[in-house]
Amino acid sequence: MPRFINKGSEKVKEDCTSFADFLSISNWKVRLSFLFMGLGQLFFRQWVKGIVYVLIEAFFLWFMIACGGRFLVGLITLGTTVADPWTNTGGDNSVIFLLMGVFTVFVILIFLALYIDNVKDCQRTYLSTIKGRKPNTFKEDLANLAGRDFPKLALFVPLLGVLIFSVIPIVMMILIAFTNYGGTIVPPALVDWNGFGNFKTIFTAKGVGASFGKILGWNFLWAFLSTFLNYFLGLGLALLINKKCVKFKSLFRVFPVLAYAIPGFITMIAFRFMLSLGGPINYYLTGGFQNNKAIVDFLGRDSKWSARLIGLAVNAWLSVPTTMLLATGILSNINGDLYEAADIDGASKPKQFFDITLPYVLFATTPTLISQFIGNFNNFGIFYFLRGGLYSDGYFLASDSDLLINWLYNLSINNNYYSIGAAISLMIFLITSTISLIVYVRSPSYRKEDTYR
Amino acid sequence: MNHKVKKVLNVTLTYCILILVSAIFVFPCLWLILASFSKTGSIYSFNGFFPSEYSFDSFVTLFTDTNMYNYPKWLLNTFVIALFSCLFSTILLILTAYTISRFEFKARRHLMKGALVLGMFPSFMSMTILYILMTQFKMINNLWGLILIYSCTAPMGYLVQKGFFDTIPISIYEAASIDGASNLRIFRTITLPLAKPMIVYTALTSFTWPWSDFVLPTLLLKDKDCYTVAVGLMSLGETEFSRFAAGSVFVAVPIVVLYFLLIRNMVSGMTSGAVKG
Amino acid sequence: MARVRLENVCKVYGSGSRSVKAVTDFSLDIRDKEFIVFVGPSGCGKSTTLRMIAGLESITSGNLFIGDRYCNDLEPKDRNIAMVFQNYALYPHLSVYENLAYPLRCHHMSKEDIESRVKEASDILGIRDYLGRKPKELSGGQRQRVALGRAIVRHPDAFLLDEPLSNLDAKLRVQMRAEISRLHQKLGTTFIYVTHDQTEAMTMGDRIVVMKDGVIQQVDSPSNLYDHPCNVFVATFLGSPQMNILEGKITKEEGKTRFVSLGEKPFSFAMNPLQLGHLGEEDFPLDVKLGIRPSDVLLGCEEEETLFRSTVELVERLGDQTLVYFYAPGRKDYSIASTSGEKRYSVGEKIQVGIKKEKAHFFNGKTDVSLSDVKPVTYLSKEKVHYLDGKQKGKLADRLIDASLAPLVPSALIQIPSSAIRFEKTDEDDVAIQVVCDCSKDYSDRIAVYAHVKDSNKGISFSSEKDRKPGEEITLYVPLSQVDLVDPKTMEKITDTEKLSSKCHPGVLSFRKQGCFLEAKDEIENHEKAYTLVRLNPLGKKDLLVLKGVKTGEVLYYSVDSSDLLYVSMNVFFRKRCKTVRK
Repeated sequence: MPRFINKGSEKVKEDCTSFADFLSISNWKVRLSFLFMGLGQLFFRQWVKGIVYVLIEAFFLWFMIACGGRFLVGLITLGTTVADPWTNTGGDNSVIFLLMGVFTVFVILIFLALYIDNVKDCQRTYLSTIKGRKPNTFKEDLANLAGRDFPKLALFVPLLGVLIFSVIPIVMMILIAFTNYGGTIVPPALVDWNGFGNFKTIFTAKGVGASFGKILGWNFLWAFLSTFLNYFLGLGLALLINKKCVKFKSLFRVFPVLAYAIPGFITMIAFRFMLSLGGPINYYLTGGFQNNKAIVDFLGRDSKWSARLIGLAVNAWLSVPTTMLLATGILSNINGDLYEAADIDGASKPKQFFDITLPYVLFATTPTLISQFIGNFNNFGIFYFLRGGLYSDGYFLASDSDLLINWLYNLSINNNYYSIGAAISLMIFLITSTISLIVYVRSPSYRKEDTYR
Repeated sequence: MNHKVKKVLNVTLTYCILILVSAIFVFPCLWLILASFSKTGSIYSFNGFFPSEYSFDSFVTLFTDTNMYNYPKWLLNTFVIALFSCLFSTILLILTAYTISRFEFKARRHLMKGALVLGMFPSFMSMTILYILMTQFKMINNLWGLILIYSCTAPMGYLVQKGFFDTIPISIYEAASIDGASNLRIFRTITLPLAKPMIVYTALTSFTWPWSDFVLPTLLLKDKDCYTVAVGLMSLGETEFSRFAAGSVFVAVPIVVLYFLLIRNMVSGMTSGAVKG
Repeated sequence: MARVRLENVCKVYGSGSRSVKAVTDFSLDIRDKEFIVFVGPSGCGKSTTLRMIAGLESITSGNLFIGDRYCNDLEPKDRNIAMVFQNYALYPHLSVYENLAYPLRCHHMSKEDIESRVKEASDILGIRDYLGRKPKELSGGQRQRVALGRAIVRHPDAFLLDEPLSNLDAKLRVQMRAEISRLHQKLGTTFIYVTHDQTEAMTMGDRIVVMKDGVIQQVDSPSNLYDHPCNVFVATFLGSPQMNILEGKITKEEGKTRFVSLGEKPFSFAMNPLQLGHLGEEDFPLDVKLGIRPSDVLLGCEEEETLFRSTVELVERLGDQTLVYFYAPGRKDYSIASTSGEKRYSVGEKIQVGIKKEKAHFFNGKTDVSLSDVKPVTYLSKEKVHYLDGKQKGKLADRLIDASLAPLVPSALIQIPSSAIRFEKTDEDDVAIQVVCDCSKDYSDRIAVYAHVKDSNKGISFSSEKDRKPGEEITLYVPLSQVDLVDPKTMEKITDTEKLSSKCHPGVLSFRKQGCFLEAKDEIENHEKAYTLVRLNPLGKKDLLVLKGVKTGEVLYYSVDSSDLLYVSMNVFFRKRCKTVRK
């Protein structure tokens, strides 16, 4: 349906689809390409290109007839026959069906993209012929690929890799969130679609749902606390080191970076050992294990809040170097003239900090704050290492300091509750993406991307 | 007088805090180093933070006792993975970032938005499926599975490199194309030399990542001999604490050195990267 | 041969109704070995045009020929041109030698050739000494020379320079200006130079193209542009300090022509009517703008010469000249007078202001077009003199756009373009006009002659190679195909230079991504698919499109609603299905 755009008093018509226009300036060769890839090109005497396109469509048709159709059906049914060990008949593996189904869908999408490209190419050739020019030879097309169409050539392999290893897994997980895969229902048993069933389970008050609410709440609290703690500690440290009276600035900066450079899992395991029942801290608290009553169970089963606080502290230890480096970079960008002008105007040092430094730094680091928030929200390692594998009462397969992502891990990897895990992943994604998008779209770096280019 | 006293107090306080903070950061590392020199393996035999006896034993057993814990093999595995994924990741990442930065093509905005959205999914989601995928392709316990996954998901983080390429003025490319260079020639003779600091950065970060990543290898490498260092060290129990410390120290030293090289390179890269004329 | 020719070049960004015209209908013929300068304010399209010549921007429509080769689709590297950028665009990681050698390596020249050419270029520019250095070790001027060197080594057909001196400080700029001019003389290649600085343009160019908003204002030599600007924009753009523009009227009383300024205390003076080209009786009183350069304003005149009195508001002493700011009637802002540096003026001093009347420029108050130049068209009324005989009248009537316009023919004016005026009869159908010359004005490359039609006082102006004496009688001839009839009330053409009448169809245009679509109600089955817009005649609210088929060359005429989005040489497609479109 045509859309009318009001331009003041004048109405300018703009078609939603330019298909009508396309038809009106195409000829029979282009329409042939529309029917079957490559035919139009052949009639334009572009032999090699035409044959390539024809082969692509032929291959696609063969694929669909041979297995594609089956896979698509399998996507919907997720398998119908159960393996029967008695009669030794193989059964349908639902997960494989899902995988192959998704794979087929992507193959279809890629084919459609190539198809549209084929038709557009034919139309372009046609338009140039009616302007009096000859259709491109294959050599010229190749030259174009190295010249004008270089992006197509360069991005082909990366896109393919990302498609297979990032996009397909994510799509599959989204789909699994709507099945009942998990627990006892694993291949060779048949998995089935169950719509929003998993989400209902999460949101009901009992069992899984109860855990979800509690963990979600703690997750948000954790993200806020850790982000702000890290941020202000890092900022404070950077400011401290930046003070004029401090010599050996780079030396003081080295130590935090040392802590940051060591792989995280090493230091986290080290902290766990440090705080374990038989570790050094308890050694000192109990005077060399003489007074066993004074042992403090930092990360044990019942130590909900101490575990959480320790998590915050260790996370700060790990993340403050990053924020410190970031703040240092930004502080070095502040124009010194501002401070000189403030001195002349008679502002005291604290006042200068609150009026000049702080607003500038806050403004410059807002985008990273968001990514730090998201990163902390999804910080898997900290509680995995400090308190991995501990299950608390009142929680379904989680401990009281676990984050959503730790819970996800316990569910999926350790206990095969894949579908619920997938549903939770979706929830995490929805939350984090909404927050990111809202802030990112408002940030100047997105809006003004083209002005900096 | 008051003013001077205040100033002295200020300075002393600052230094005290800084030294304290530095100590906090350094201490666990020091402890690990100390622990790696402990004679016994278990943590219970320590006198608090200090081992009761010192020796090189842990380091020796690390490399010789390969029955249960084949540390040298882990090192080799991780090195192979790191090397190849560094190679492939750098190529793919530089290519992607350069193309998106320099060329204006129809799908560009859509690709960037898509990458943004994809990046918002928790990386965990794809892990299970990757496990199934790899099982299908029989790539479990195969180092190349990891290399493939690391390399193919690397282009998603193109933003840093793209930001760098954005700082190269377009007029240099235009001058080159007027001078008669084809796109490939421009890439070879102009982009790559100018992008050296960024290439080094990319190579270093993609090299160090497999050493500290533990999630993916845990999933995909089930055979003890195929472990990477990260998985292997995690599998050490409480009784092998000093071994753990030794192994960690051994692997942490080169990584820390690489990081410091990185930072220095980054800094020098930024200043010489002021490409004006 | 490095002759660069642009024909109706347009650059349009965006598509459909959201398009932006950066350059409109740019036609220019750049001679070999010429130094031509594109000058204009920011955003006027000069850099865009240069980049189109270079191949860095695609040409939306129009033709580009470099040395007689059709270059629209050629890659920059195949056009054999060299470009010098505003920010030098040197390769930072290569030494100066390698920077100079880079283009030669791209063309796979031998090592000896590369070395000789690099040596040659570095000798010309005096950069021999730092061939081993990197660009960041050089100063701005040295970098600019390396950029020039990189262009020279290629021995191109044309040099394109995009504001090369903008990044240099003032002193260096003056020095480099002279160097570039010297370079042009030495190399003898075509130079196409873009700048926003009018001083650079005036001092360096053989010819200058003044542009504004994507449209060429005037193309001429520097002295012609300075002495005979064709509109207010060109007049105020060139020359520093700016020309003073005062508003006023020209009246004709008792046969005397006077200029009367606006303002509370207007001044007036009698003027030579010939200064205005030729205007008919009905034109007066005429709103005009008087333009007078600061150097032509006289301060401290005698009583007879004084036009008005004013007070000195501001004095700027520049050493060799002094600028005096004062208020003049007819102008809200300051007016400026420049006098020699020896005279001293103080703020608040009373001055008696006069002007050099022969140096005054007059511009039409509404259209800003100069009145003192050869008028592009002359309108002759058929009352007093009969220009056309019966056969010619009949032929003209045949060319009516629409048969319904026939009643207008008797009272219609005859439109004659001055560019069509000839001095010999070449065709039987030429219209003959007897004129008597009044005066002539000398431009550096041509002579503008002002004459009036014999037995009438209708003025007519034309260009001539020979100087004409006042009172000389000549016969001018205009080919009938160039003559048109014009409706005196609306001043719109009612004929067109080709036989139109029944062939002009109405149609509706729509602009899409693919291009411009024409929907017409009549039978278009026999039409081709793609047409090029050859000519665009604005006729009030409607535009007349002359379309030429791409393959067969068939010519069609359509009238559509006026639209800003049309430009010559754009592609027009016919839609097979016709829809009635609400407008």
